[in-house]
Amino acid sequence: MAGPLALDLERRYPRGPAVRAELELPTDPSSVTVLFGPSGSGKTTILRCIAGLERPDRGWVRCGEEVWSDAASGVWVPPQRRGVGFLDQDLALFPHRSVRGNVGYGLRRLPRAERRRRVQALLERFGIAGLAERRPGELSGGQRQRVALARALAPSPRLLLLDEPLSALDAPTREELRRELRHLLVEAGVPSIVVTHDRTEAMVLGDRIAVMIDGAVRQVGGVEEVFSRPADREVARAVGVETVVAARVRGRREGLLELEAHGRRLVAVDTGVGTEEVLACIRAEEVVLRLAEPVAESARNHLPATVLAVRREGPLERVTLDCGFELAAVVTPEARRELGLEPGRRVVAVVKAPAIHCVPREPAPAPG
Amino acid sequence: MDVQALALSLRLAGATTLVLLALGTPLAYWLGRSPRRWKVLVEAVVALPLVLPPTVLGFYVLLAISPRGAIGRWYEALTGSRLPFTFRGLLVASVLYSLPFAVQPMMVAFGQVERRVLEASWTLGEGRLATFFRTALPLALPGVVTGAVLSFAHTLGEFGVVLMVGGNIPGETRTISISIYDHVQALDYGAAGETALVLLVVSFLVLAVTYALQRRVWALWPVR
Repeated sequence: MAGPLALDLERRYPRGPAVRAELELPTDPSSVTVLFGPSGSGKTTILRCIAGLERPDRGWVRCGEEVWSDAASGVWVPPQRRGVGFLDQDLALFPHRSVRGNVGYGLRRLPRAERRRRVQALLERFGIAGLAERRPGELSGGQRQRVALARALAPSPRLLLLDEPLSALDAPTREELRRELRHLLVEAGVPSIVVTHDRTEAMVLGDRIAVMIDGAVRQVGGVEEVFSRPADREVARAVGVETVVAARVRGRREGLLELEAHGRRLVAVDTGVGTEEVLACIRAEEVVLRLAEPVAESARNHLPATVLAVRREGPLERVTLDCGFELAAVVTPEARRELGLEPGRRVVAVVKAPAIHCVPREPAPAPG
Repeated sequence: MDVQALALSLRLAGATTLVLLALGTPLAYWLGRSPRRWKVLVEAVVALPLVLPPTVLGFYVLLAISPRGAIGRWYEALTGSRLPFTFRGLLVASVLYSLPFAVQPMMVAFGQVERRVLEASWTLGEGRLATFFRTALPLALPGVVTGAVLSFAHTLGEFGVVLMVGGNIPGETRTISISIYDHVQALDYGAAGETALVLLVVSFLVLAVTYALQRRVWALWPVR
């Protein structure tokens, strides 16, 4: 796709607050951007404005050189001509058509033989060729998900939009499909924007995260960056205060994972992540600070660190450390005094293995 | 039994149903899906024949299509012939008379089609017209069929409006219900009874077949 997707818009509602967003999303092929935020923050509205299913009251949406909508000049490109694939929360499959009919719906203008070939290729790629003659009512949640994705990708859209793609599924299926969805999105070779309010989903699916709070986009950045270094307190509250660091699995033994993150070795409990790349998440509350290496201790991770910053946060002090990567910890003011925690102070950060939560991570697509 | 009158009634009912499918379906779609507030006024107008006495409706139609009425004058200028006491005049009246029977079930069915399914069609590149024929209409089909059958059956038994607009010209405007009335007036209860029985059986069959078909339609498309 030529050029980034950019928007600056406002959508007002007769009842309820307005949704505002100013956003520029690079759209490299197969990059996944997550629009993350609590329910009611306006994520779906933004997505629908991009798809052309809703008209902004003010502002514009642009895709590369093309203006898709501009309230000031009255420019409006209808959804049919935006070339955007849209996956509704409910998937919205056509109940009166077979799986084959659903997938081929957007290919009506193709010659018959060509259409048949394309549909068959998609059915096979998504592993639903055996279900081709079934109707959506006869499919499981995961199967419906794949049909919807295949249908949206059939007309070769230049952008794919997904609204809470896993929310219609029950919890175990959702767990299972997260990684699969990431895989399918990367493989599709189409830049996509995913709306979600689920942290794990955001981490598993996204290359980049845009955080929305109260109808406004507050921070855009890489997954690690946003989760580890929230721009302000509200973003921190929305994403949960936590260190998120990319790590590589070096070894697996007896139910434990040996990780390497920015040159540091970490030990975590293996909860069944299947990938070699993971995101290691450490809650600031789980990090213990001490002045010297202990003689012997049950906790497995001892990370020599330097204090970068200390900031008061409610009744506690939030300490930012450099231990090869940036690590957050919270301590009481009393502990801060006793340990003399000031920028430059050398300490050891101690984390128990079960406190490191690993999220599977499919590799990011090769650029270009 | 008056075969000619029965044939005329079937012809009138069939033609009325076709016209209502062509005009009533888009009207029902608009009524079922438009967000406009003032559509309630249109809904009220469409439903008027349900509560107006057929004679009142027939009276106004007669005025409108008479050579001095607006529609009548326009029709005469266009075709050189007149509408009152003709089959076409009767058709105009029947379409109005059966309008609510066609439009209301269709409107309900179109209203129940989920918006997100139509949006899916738009984002897959289909315009509003293609979306209507490929998605909205098939999903609302049971309602559309119900509307068509109800207007057919309703037109078949029409009496008051026919009397006002069409009169009683054999082969042109003498429908089956007029024929029954004539037989009774002439104290020919045998002929009246035969014709009435035919009307009863035909109406029953049409309705029974429709309901059976609808069952199949639903069984084919299990909606979640």
